[in-house]
Amino acid sequence: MMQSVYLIALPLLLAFASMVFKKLSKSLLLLGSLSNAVMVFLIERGDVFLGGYEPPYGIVLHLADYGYYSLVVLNLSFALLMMIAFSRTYKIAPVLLITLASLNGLIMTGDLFNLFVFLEISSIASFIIVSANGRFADVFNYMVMAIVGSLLYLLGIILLYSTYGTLNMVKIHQLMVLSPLKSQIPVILIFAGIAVEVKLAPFNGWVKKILGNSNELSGPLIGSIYAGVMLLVFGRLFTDVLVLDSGLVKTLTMVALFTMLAGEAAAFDSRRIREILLYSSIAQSGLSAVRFRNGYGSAALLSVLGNVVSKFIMYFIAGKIGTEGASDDINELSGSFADNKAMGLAFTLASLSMSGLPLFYGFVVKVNVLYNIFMSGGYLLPVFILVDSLVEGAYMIRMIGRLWNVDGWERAPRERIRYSFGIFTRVSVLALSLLLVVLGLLPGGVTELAGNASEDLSQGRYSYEFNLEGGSE
Amino acid sequence: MHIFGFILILIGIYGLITKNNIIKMIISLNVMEVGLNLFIVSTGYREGSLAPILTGENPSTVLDFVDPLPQALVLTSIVIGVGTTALGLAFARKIYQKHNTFNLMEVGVGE
Repeated sequence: MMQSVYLIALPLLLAFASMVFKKLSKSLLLLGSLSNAVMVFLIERGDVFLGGYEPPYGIVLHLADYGYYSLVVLNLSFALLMMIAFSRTYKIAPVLLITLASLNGLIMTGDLFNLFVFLEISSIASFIIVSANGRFADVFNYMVMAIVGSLLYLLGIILLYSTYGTLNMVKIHQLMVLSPLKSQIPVILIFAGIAVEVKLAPFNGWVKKILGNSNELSGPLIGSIYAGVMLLVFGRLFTDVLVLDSGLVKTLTMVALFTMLAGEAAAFDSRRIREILLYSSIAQSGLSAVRFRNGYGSAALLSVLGNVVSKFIMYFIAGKIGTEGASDDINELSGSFADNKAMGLAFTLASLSMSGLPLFYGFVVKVNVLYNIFMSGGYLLPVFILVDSLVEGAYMIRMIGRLWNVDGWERAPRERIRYSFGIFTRVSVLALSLLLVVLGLLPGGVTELAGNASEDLSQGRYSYEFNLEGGSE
Repeated sequence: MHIFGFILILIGIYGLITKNNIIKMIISLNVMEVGLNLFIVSTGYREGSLAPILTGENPSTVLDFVDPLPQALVLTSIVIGVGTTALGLAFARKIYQKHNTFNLMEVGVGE
């Protein structure tokens, strides 16, 4: 068994090595991501006190069922992406290794300031990755929004520190339960900071320009993996660390519901593949935030996994079509999948799963969500979720219908294009999409994993003794 | 000190909202960061307390020190600020090379 800190240390070490040995950088990236994908099954759960300093003076990495679930999703999807988008990693291999280290750190850290540091590192890495599309003004706007968000988050945690005298997540939670905040301003500032990356309204203005021009590397990385990790961090912070008063819970739920409805409406209105996906991502982020915030942790975890896998496949294929094809418009691309059947099938399976059709994993997620809400006596939220599912199903089926429709060839101005997917890529993406069917038919294992992870989240099982306290008082 | 930090943060936000020049926006971000750093340091300050360094004259931990943690946090925050500023300036240079202007409005929506 290994300590969880190696999931951060190894990619960081390889990132520095890849800057020294530039010719080996892509190989080192592959080595780092594959090593992490293997190591994630060998690491032991528990706390790691960095440098031997116990909290609150030292930084603690905490790993229990929730973190483990998150790490498996992150490291496996990241390794797969690096393999199938290997040609796109040229020149940015060190940045991708730093991204991997920081995303692992975001999941495991038990310290609010350390979370800020990992948040900043991952943000800076993502600015560089998305700048590959050459649209520097859009990336600059994204950067400004993300930095302002980070500064608001930092201000929020410093206000918490000046109130409670610690930045340790477990200790803060204990103190917030014993002595709730008189003002919710620090929590609102932290929410605003995280909401930029979780893509919640009104902090998601950057998404359209960034993900709307993504390629087969930046699309799955930012739209699927990065978004999934940030949602898992959001879930942990706003369920297991911060204690919110009921008024703020209602306000945040309204913000998340507005995000969901606005996202679905915009996706329904759009005719461009990547735009549809990014608006759908925004809507799903809102929905997952509602689930986390209202205590449906298990359903939220299942939903995050479904989103990561489905959006991974869809962003990858859409990124390839967007960068190699002449257009992003579903009308001009009608019939594209008839020329690229394997990728068309993978995209279709991912879309149908997202829509929540029976036999697919998305159906398991939606049934789980509705069951949990009805069991807890909620009747308004299911109405929103069902409306969301109907709208999502409508635009997803419209999109795949157009992309398969060969009748449109005569009027489509494009030439027929066979996209250059390698055999390994085709097999991998197709296998990943078939996983959505397998998990839909045999959901027992994954629902049990999500159930255990959500118990870890909601019961605050982990704790340790504090003998020392910081703070100015 | 708290108030001065907040004023700087507000000046930074004002600059970000009202300016379209990329360099001025980066400066506004820096003003925000400086304000926030000042605020962080001020949370650990205590009137009449010593610097949190053990020396021959101050050998004991029972002496009245200011809180050292915010100062350590600010060091990290400054380093991150330098990194983001450098990256912002690199983007500014790229935008200028491509559009021959630093004005985001002239660059246009979606370039």
